[in-house]
Amino acid sequence: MVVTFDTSGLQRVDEATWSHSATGDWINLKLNNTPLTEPAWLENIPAMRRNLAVEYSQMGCLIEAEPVVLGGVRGVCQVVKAPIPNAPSGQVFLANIFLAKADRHVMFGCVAEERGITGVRETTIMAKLGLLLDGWVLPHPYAPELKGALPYHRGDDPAWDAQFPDHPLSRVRAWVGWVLATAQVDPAFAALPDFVPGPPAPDTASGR
Amino acid sequence: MAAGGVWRTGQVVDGRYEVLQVHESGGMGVVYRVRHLEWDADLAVKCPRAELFRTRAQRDRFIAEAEIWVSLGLHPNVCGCHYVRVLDGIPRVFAEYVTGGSLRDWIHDRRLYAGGRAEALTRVLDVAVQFAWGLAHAHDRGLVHQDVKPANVLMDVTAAGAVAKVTDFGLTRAVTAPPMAADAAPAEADLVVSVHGLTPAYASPEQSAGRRVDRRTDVYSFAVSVLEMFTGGISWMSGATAGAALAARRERPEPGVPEPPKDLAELLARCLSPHPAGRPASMGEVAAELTEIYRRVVGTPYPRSAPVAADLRADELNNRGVSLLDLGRPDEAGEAFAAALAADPQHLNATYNAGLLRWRRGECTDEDLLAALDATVAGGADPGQTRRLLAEVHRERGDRDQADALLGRASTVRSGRSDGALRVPWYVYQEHDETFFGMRMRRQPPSMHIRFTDDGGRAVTECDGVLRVWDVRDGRCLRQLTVPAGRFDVSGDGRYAVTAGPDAVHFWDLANERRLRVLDAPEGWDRSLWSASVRLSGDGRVAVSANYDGTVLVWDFPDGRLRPALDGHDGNAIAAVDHDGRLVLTAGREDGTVRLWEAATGRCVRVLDGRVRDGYQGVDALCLSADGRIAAVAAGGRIRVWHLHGGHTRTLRGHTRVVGSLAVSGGFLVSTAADDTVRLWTLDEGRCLRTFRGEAGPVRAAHLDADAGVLLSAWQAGLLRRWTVPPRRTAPPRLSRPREHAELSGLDATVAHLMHRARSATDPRTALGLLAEARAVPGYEREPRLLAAWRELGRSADRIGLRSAWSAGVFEGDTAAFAVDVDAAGRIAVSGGTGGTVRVWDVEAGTCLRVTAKQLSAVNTVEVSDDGSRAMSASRDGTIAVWSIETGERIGGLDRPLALGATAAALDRAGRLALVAGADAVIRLWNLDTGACERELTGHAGKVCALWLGPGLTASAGADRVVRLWDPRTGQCLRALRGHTDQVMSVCLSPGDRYALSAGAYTDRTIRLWDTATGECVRVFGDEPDSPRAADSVPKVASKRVRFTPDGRFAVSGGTDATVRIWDLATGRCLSTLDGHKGEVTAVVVGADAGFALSASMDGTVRRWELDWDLRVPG
Repeated sequence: MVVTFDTSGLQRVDEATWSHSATGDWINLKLNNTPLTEPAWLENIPAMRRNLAVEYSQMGCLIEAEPVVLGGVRGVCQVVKAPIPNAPSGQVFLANIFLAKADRHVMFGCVAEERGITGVRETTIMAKLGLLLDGWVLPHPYAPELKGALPYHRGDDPAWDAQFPDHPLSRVRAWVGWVLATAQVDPAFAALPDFVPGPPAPDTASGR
Repeated sequence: MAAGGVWRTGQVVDGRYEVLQVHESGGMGVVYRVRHLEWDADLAVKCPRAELFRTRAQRDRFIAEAEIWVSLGLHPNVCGCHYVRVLDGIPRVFAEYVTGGSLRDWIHDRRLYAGGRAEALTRVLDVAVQFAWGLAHAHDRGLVHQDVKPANVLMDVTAAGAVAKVTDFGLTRAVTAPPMAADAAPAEADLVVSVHGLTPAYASPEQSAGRRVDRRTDVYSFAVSVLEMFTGGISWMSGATAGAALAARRERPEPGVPEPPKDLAELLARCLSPHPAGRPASMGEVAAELTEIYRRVVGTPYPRSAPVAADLRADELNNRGVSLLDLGRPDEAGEAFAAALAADPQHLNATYNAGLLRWRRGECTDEDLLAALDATVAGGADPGQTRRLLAEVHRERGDRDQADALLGRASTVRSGRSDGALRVPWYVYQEHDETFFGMRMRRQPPSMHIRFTDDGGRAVTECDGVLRVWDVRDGRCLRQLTVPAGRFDVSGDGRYAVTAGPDAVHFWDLANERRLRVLDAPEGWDRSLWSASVRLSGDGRVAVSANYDGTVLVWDFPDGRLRPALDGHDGNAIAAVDHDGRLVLTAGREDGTVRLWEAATGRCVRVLDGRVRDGYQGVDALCLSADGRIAAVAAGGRIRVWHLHGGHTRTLRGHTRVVGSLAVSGGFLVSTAADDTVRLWTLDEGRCLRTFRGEAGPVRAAHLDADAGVLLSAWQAGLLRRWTVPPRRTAPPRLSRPREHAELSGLDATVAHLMHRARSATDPRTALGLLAEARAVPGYEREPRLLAAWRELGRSADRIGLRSAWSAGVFEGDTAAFAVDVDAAGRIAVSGGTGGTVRVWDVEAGTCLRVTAKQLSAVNTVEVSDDGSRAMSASRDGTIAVWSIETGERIGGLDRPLALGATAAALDRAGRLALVAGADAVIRLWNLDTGACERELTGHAGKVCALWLGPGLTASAGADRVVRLWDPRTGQCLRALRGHTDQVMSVCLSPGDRYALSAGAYTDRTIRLWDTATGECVRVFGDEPDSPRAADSVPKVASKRVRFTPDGRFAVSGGTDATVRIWDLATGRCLSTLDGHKGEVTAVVVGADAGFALSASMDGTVRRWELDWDLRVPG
């Protein structure tokens, strides 16, 4: 595999998918033999972030897009939230790490969703901060004018993760921290030329 | 009272005035000599004749003139008007009683001329000078007498000779018709008595002609009067011809009467000029010439010093206020009472009278007035007098038992069989723990709704899906039905009910215990958005369902025919319906309107502004009177009442929390609220006539039968209270014993002398003793200049105790206040609270100077820079801002809110550092200039509740029950102070950081004093007897905020019982408990010289408390 990581405690679902028995979180790893289609990448981080925020706003909200380095390979970690499909309430949180090379890219990530009573993190933080909707919802940090399917808000700040370690957003962020510290990248993949954004090609896999 | 308001000798009027003598006073009225039985002082009572007092114009004019006389103040040459009282429908002027008779008497009986010509001339000149001084004083205050004559000058015989006092200002003129025609000849007797507002023999030409007059008409009449002193009587028909009499007098001397000196004759001639412009411009000028004439004629300087009007003290200002009140001038009366309280903030009578006025105007509640009167005892008021006044207030609020108890009497009026409490088990509830979100917690008592039937004979409750009907007389449950849990209503006779279930409205026949109908949401309606609450008209014919989406549906009851929907609101709607079901009153949670509808047609007939209180758009409760003429809504604890036919509105202020129910009966409105009170309001005045408090816990409903005078209230804790509402009674105003000019000016001179000596004293101990002596002069205890001198001396003296403390101002904010601070000079205060704004206040005036832009969350902490130029604020969401006091603009702070908010914050007075605790219990020190976090202080194991940022030490207090002391330079925790048994809500350090004070919360009600060097707990304010109001008591509630006085000897705390307490740290004694706030006190701060403290409260106000300290000169 291009990326290897410790899978103890995880249940293998298929060749590229694992699940966490206690939390039900999913771990995915996928190698795409096509280049990313993003018009901006690490050479222009503000543009990349803005593009991603706009794209994710259709289905939810990009919480953060941070440059990362894994096994010497530069990449981007994207943390996203979206409504749980076909459910009356609740959100699903995704943390995906993209390692992009000129002609291929690998995407691996963690998916965690709210279970049971939903919205507890948000309502608790709102109460702690004494905020109503006015102060709670913030302009998106990467695209302030953006109105997406889900709003960017004060509770998305990672500073709150320690207060809500069991919340799915905290879990996906914790997974990112762990995987960046422990995962390994195939040196052959690492040696490939880096991805440089070009004009978008039709019918190719998305960078998301 | 005798018929027509006429009094007889020997009669006791108004229970306090014994009539000693009746003097007829010409055609205008009667003068009585009365003795005030309580004061043991004689007064003159001037009463206009009833027949001259018939028209409204006559009455108004009399009142206006009496008001002016009352306002003249005290002058030795003016007969003092102490006050005016309307007795028997007639305003009566209570004035100084002068025993010597009038100048007219002295002329006629020749007392004026006793002792030979020289002595007589000296006396006449002396009287003339005093006479002129008295008129000059009146003119200086804008009053023209217009009936100047010897009969209106009273002669007071003193050891220093006869003192002349001008009297009857304006009164004769006030009760007369327009001046007579010029050609009408007066009867001879009328020459020297007032006719139509003037006395012909003394009237100036312009006055006789009915032309406009000014003060120079008095100059003319004065000269005629002086002339009479030299003629020994009048020999002229009209004042206009008196000039000729003067010339004749100079040619033909009167035996036994001194001749007018030449200079005087010339002066009189000028005064008697037919044209006002030819007369001296002022009586002051005339008086000055007269004294010079005296010097030349007598050969010695005029012996009397020019008098100075005495400064009125609180007693006199209070009496002026009472007079103005009786004269129908409430605004001016309020100003007079305010002036009295400025002269003595703890003046008992002024506190009582001003409080009565404010109470009756709906500006304060009955409890506010009672608390203010209670507080005067701490300020030195006579407890017996205070009890008597408290009793009067209790009688007016209808609590005769309390009144009798205060007076030590057995209850004069038995409460009657309807009064008392009845235990009624409204619901069955077993206390038990339950699990909520993984946490074990005690189950809260279930919610309960209750309605009374129209006659108050039945109560119907709904709790946990069971509808119960109760007999209110004995507390028996008559029947019960299982219904969908939620809101309900019953018909006036209690026979029918309507309930709101989760998705249907149900009609019930309670008498037969059966359901009549189930009404689902109409087709096409969102079932989840309808039927938030239901109402049923008193006649049981119309049911109303108010829905979550703002619509209101109306049905015929019981057949369920749907009428046109009422659609006009946004958000959750609530509704009320009149007795006949003709009108429906509705309000929405989000659109700020209240609407009145015709139930039959669905037509909106009125749209009212439902924004009762800023910041509270949603209406909490509403009601419509049975006849549909009065509507009332409540929001944010305020109630607004509309008289729908008259169109006028009133806002009722008093509740401090959400109002739960409203009902109108007779001329009253009754409300219940989450502040655990039932309040009875008068609709004509808009005042809270009486506040009822039960034993404990929330009150759910109240029912008032105004005709029967019965008020019922249902309390969730299983209690039904009945109160009798007695007939309305009005407490009488309270007058202070009047003092004459000599007494008052004597006291003033004594105090001025003592103050002068104190200022000149080189030894502070001597100065302190002299000031103490001056403060002991009756009425001067809190005289502002004396108090200022005392405080000035206090800067170099030790405070050794608290003389008294009193409320000195209420700064009205909009929403609950959480924080308050004051600048070093004590001039500028800032406050913050739930409204999200920072308010800048002028401490002295109590006015709001500035309101900053609204922050997104509550402002929890504020500081003012020492120079008063900047304010710093920390909001709960972690916003740290620096504001310009001058402009209110934001001029600094952190660019973005701190992610984890601010559970507590402390800001340095230079506006450069912010110490903030976030939700992670880490305390961070932020540099506001760079935006960088300079230090992290970790150690608390839970929420940090309070922070203190001192120059040497930093202190924190947390939910982990620990107080921590930190080195701000290293971030090292120097000490952990343990001893509190629950969360610690407040911490501060003494000047020099030697001691720390901390206040516990919830189950720990103590304040602890710590030695910061050793970490030892020096004192726990908690080992005294637990009596809530005794001086040595421990508060029964948690103290939320505590602060040292600047000298570190005392502390001020504010608690959840809405009081402010002053503590002696050396003994741990509570020196004073200050009532006034209506919500818990959330913050306190002490002014730099400890002259005052400010407290912020959940009631939305900041209060200023004056602190008056006992002093000792050190060494």
